[in-house]
Amino acid sequence: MLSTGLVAAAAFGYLLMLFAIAYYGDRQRARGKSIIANPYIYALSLAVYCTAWTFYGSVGKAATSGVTFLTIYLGPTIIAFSWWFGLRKLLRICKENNLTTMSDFLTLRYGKGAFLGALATVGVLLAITPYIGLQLKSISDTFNILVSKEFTPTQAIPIYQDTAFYVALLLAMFGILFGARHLDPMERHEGLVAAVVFESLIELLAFTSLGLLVTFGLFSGWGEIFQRIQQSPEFQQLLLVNTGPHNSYTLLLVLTLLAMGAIHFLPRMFHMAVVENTNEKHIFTAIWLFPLYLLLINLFVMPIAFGGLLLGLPPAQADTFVLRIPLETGHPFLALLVFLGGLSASMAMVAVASIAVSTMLLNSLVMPLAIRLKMQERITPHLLTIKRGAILLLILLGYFGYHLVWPTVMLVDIGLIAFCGVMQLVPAMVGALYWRDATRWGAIAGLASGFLLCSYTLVLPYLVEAGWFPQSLLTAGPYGLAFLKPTAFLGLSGLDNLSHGFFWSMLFNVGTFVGVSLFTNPSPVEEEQARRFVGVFEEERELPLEKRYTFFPTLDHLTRFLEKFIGPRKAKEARQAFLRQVAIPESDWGDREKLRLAGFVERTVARSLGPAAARVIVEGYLSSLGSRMEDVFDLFGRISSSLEESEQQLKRRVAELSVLFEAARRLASSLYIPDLLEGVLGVLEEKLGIEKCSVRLLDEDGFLHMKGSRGLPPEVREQVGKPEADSLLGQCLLTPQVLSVADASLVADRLRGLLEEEVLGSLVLAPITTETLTLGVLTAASSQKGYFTREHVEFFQSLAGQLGLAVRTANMEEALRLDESRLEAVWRLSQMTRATLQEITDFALEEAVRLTKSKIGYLAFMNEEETVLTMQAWSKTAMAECAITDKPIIYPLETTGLWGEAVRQRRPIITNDYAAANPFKKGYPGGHVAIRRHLNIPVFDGDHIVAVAGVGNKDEDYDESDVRQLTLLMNGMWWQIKRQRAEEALTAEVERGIYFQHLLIHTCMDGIVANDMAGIIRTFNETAAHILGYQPEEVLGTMNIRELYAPSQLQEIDAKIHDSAYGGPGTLENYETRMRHKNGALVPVWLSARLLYENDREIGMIGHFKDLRERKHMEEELLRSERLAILGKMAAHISHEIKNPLMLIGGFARQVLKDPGANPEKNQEKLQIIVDEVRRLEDFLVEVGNYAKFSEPQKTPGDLNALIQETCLRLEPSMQESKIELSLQLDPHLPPVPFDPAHLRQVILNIAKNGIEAMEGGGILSIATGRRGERAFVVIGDTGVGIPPEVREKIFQPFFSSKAKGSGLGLAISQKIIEAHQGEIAIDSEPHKGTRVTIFLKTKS
Amino acid sequence: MPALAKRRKLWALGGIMGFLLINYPVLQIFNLHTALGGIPLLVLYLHGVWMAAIFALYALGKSLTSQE
Repeated sequence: MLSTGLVAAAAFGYLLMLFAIAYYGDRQRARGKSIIANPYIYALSLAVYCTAWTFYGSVGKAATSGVTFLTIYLGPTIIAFSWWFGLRKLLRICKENNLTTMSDFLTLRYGKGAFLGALATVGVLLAITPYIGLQLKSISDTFNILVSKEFTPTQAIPIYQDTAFYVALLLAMFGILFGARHLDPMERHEGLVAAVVFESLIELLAFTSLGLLVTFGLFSGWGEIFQRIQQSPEFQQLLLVNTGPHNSYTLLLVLTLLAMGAIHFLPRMFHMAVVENTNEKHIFTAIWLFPLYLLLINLFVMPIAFGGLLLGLPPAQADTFVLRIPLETGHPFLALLVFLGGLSASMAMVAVASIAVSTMLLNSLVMPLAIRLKMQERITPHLLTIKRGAILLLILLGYFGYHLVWPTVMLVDIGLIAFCGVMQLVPAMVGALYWRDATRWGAIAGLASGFLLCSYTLVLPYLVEAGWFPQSLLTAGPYGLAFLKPTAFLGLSGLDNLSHGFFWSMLFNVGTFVGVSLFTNPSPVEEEQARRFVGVFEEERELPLEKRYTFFPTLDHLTRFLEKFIGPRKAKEARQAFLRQVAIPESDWGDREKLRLAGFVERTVARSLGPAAARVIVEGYLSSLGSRMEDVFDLFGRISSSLEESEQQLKRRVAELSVLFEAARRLASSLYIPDLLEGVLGVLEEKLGIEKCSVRLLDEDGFLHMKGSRGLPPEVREQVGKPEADSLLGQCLLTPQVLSVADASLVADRLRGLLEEEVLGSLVLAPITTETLTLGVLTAASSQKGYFTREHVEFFQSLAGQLGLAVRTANMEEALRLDESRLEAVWRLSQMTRATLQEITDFALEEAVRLTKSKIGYLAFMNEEETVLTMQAWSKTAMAECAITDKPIIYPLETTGLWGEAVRQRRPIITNDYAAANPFKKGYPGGHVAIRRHLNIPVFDGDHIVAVAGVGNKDEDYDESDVRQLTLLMNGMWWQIKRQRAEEALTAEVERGIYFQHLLIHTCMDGIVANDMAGIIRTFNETAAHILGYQPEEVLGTMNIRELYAPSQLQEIDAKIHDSAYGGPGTLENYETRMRHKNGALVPVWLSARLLYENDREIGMIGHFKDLRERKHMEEELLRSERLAILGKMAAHISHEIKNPLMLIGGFARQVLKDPGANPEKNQEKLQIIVDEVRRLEDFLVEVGNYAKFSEPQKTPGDLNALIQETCLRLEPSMQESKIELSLQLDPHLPPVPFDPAHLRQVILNIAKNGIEAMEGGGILSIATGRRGERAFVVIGDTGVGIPPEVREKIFQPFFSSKAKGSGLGLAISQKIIEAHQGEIAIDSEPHKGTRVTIFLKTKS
Repeated sequence: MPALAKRRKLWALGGIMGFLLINYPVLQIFNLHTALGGIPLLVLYLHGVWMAAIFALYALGKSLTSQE
């Protein structure tokens, strides 16, 4: 026995501990550290399934029905197999849509209407409230048992004495503190979850402790307990099933199914499994850990139940065995622990269930109701209070229900009725997850029929039992209708009440749900939600955007809006979350992001208020700001809406469309504006029967010109006027909007600009517009007042729009065509390279007339001083029309009239109204072409005006476009003229240059010949022709340069000109060569040549040559006279040489002849002298003969050294005689040298003899040989007297001798021989020191 | 993903098997006054099925976790 104080203190202490845990959990979450984000915590939190009913009721059930109770825990184990796809799907959908209750889930899935959610909420509320009451009752009962062992009927005591009442208040406080401390859009209560998990563990601990005590303390194990039960006839039935209705197979099946449904759809289970889940992967752990927990907690249920029975406790108190056994067997503190375990189970259930159901109440009942009553603005600040109130209300409802209504009902039945109640949600929920065709009406019908039948068959019997209804209802049926008996509905009997109720309610529920769903069509919203729910795991596709907001508030606005519902902090968090989600800055948001934001805001609000309320609130908020949804594709919107229109409307629309089509066809058929206007006006007149209609178009200066009309007098054409801003025309152009005037007389002051005929009755003005421009006004008028309807207005609007587009296109086309035409004219001008000035100006003028659509044209050139205009051209039409025969050509500027203004003002002058008075006009002579309109322009060259061009008599007014065309064309013409002039000047210049060059070449005293790379002669001047005997024309371009040179001569020239040694590369200077005369003779020339280059590439050669024939001739003459002189000298010398001996010979011969016998001795002497002199003469004559009869040497290669040695042998006697030494230094490696041995021997003898003769007092004669390059040399030196410088030059001349008895021919002969050997002979001498003679000979011939 | 679809069917098979095993008529087989090691057959059977189911759930869950 425990004292009340102790138990109360223990309970209170335990509660405080739970508060502490929950508080800690919430604190940690606020710091961002979730203590429940853990799969084990998640699995244990599901243990909220085990309530006081598990704790106490299971044992009771086991003690009365045996193993039946196990099905309540086996069911969840079986259904856990589906969690990976079923529960996860539910979880995913709820997380994605921020759903926090089942009613929200149903509301969202089945189209956001509030009714379904409300229905579900009411059903769940009715099922759960007694269940909460049951928990309160169990706490109070167990408390009472623990402290007094008495079981007091609760009705007997007043409320203020009832423990259960205080328990209820305490639990409400717990629920409010940890379930509704603030509004959490996520509805997550981490502290609460932590407390629940702790309670689950305490539960398990308490129950297991008791189980161990019973099984192993009071008995010796399971074996003993079961064996004793089996042996007891009273209780052995408990070990079997299907022994009666209380444990039939059917009931087992029903219980299993109920448990399978309840584990998901009891509000507390949905809350724990779905809303408080932090990560869907936690399901992996929960699927096995949660069934394991159930197994463990049930492991000792049978031992305790059977143990209690065996201990002799009454089966009627089986529900309290868990407390009674420890109390009976003297373990009060264990009983206290068990009490705390039971308390835990109850508290967890009550707290979680009340929070979950209060959220449902708030979202599905209170908010929709508030919105219906238009009180949502007033209610939103009090949401938290309302929620707290709902929790308190729920618990108190439970308390009062049990206190006043349910006392006779057994614990276990309340639980099962609640199970059956929530089971009614299963078809709608499962359908929502897996069946796309499930509809809202199906769900409503299923839920309603299910709840109804469940109440009727299951709850009503208990109410009858409680005396609320007459007993006859059960026995005879309502109004005596037996087939409506609640316990045997439609005559079905033999089933226990639960199976019976379950069967009928589920049959009707599923039947109507499926049936009605098949017979009704889902709304578009439902369809979309069905797609999203059923296909939540399918990949998100970006659907085409169909709707958009016309106007959308900023994120800041929406954040402030959210603050009202979820508080500033949460709103800020939500805002951040959304920005993370879209990942695009707000400035770049398009329609899609705005739609997403709207959806996000709605979902965020939905977490606090439920989807039904959220939708209404968000939509209301947006529409209050002026934001509404519109179709993105207006065209399709039209089509779909037209389907709903009446046949009449459709017919009218078809007619309208056919007229619009006709108008479009006509507008497309032409690009000429008058045609377009005629087409549209025709459609109006013919198809619509409009009386009067007209089109006015704006010009560039803002004047409206009447361009076409129907039903109006023809003279209105050309009507021009400036629209005034406050007139109808002005307003129509300015806004630009269609104006419809039903009665023109009412707006008489605003009709300016309109014709009298147009304002008789009603009229419509439609602005002719393009996207950016207003082009004019389309008017339609009727003399009938109020003729034009709204349809007319719409029609005119679209017609004017089409017309605007067509006019703009036509304008653009026209501009394009003109530009093309002008470009073509300018191009053709540029091609007129050979045309005369007159041809060019005529062509340009005709084109100008054509381009400006004029009739006449003229062109006059300006003099340089800009004082006189000279008429250059008249257009053909002007010439034809003009009657003046001798038109003046010259116009002094000051005498010109209007047409001179273009020069005076230096700008284009447009005169569209020529007839009007004009100060500049001076009139034209009679016979002149009549002028209606005139445009002329100055043509500039730089700042200087060079011409004036004018056109006239266009049908329409001249405008800027004409000025542009004329200016551009005339500039093109002037440019062409200038170009042509420049070309002419250039040609003359070039021709002059060429002539000069020609003159230069041909008058040159040198022959000039130039050839290209192929050798063809390209230049051949007259001098060259003269020298070589050709005519230039027979050479130029026909002859090759090769033919002008002697054979091989050209190659030599070519080699030399590329060599740098002859005046630099590419140049050849003063080269003596021979060229071939036409007659074949070779002409000696002196050639200077230069290679011609172009871009560093050799292109030919130019040569200058001088004729050398004259010079050669003169040289030969000179040589001959020199030779004659030498001959004369020679003859004198010879006669002198011969004369002296002859005189001696003659003298002595005559002396001897006079006296041949006298003095023979003397005669002898005289004869000897004669003989000597004769020999001398003979020798002299031999030498002269040698010199004269010089023969060409016969050269054979020979050893020069051997020749020298042989010659020296001959010289030895005379050297000994003169005491002269010989020194030979012969090069042993001397190659063979070609020479004539006889000739060369004579040369060496001559030179050596001269040396010997020069050394009368003795000396040294040296002879050396050697080689230098390709030449061999012989040096013969003496140490004699030397040669005086003054005679050095003459020593090689014949008959010159420095010696008394020399013939003077030795050295001359020697030189002749050496030259004949193509060698050289040189003398080097110093007086009194000696002479050196060097002979060079080629080693190769 | 065929592997996942297959596994899903395995889950469903487990659930259906479990449901059949704890209901009539399979239950009838074990609804006897017989005990094994002192424990009634029916109690033993139901707990056996229960534990087998838990083990199957554990194995399936583990295999899915390892796959992810």
